[in-house]
Amino acid sequence: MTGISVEVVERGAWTVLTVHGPINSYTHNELQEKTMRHAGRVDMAVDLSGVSSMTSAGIGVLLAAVEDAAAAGKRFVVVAPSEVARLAIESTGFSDHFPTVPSLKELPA
Amino acid sequence: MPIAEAPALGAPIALAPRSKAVARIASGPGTFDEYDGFVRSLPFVTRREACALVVAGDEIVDNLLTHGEIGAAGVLVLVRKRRSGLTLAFFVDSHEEFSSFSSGLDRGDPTAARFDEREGRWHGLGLTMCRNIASRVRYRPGLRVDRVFLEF
Repeated sequence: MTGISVEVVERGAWTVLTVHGPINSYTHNELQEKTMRHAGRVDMAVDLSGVSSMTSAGIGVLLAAVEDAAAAGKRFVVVAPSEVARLAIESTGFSDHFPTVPSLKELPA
Repeated sequence: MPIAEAPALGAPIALAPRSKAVARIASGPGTFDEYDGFVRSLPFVTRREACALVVAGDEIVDNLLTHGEIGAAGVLVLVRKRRSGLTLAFFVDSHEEFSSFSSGLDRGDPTAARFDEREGRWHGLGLTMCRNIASRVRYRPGLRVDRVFLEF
């Protein structure tokens, strides 16, 4: 199976998680582990430009991270979602929960 | 077609573009890759349509796999494009859980996406996604084969 990779880097005030590959019930554990490690502790940006597909398993992970961030007064943004990631997010009806920027350069200070 | 309207002898015959494709996908580690590859290879769907087929179809595949509903025979996937729209269908060996889920939908059980605090996970999120992407989603249990139809 094609797995996912989740790279974590610091970029100014932000901790950026860059995800590559398909996010589904078989692959979401790595994303979950890394988001749980940082969500609510730092300002988190999740770069979804390399996501080839995303099911509700991945959406659930991101929603949890959004909730943790909001509860802790931290920021959460999605960066440059791929076409399928954008459609997956929009199709949940929860787009408003996912502030999005078109590139890492557009991250707020 | 009246013979008078038929192409002249020896003239090339313009065939309608192929607008239906079927694939059998095995249950296992490569199911998502196989399904996505199949959809993205279809010459008769646009990039936008392929995107919808991938997102909604992956959700169906994910649920079928998670609930153990894809048996040894794998899953048969059909994509058909007509003037009226696009149809995506899944056929799997019948499974009790599928029938139970389908009956719940027919009874009008609540299906709105909701977070279960006790289980720590979302319910109904995938169905919501499919319903928002497709114009119609139907689950049809059978004695031997269960079917899922999505129309776009």
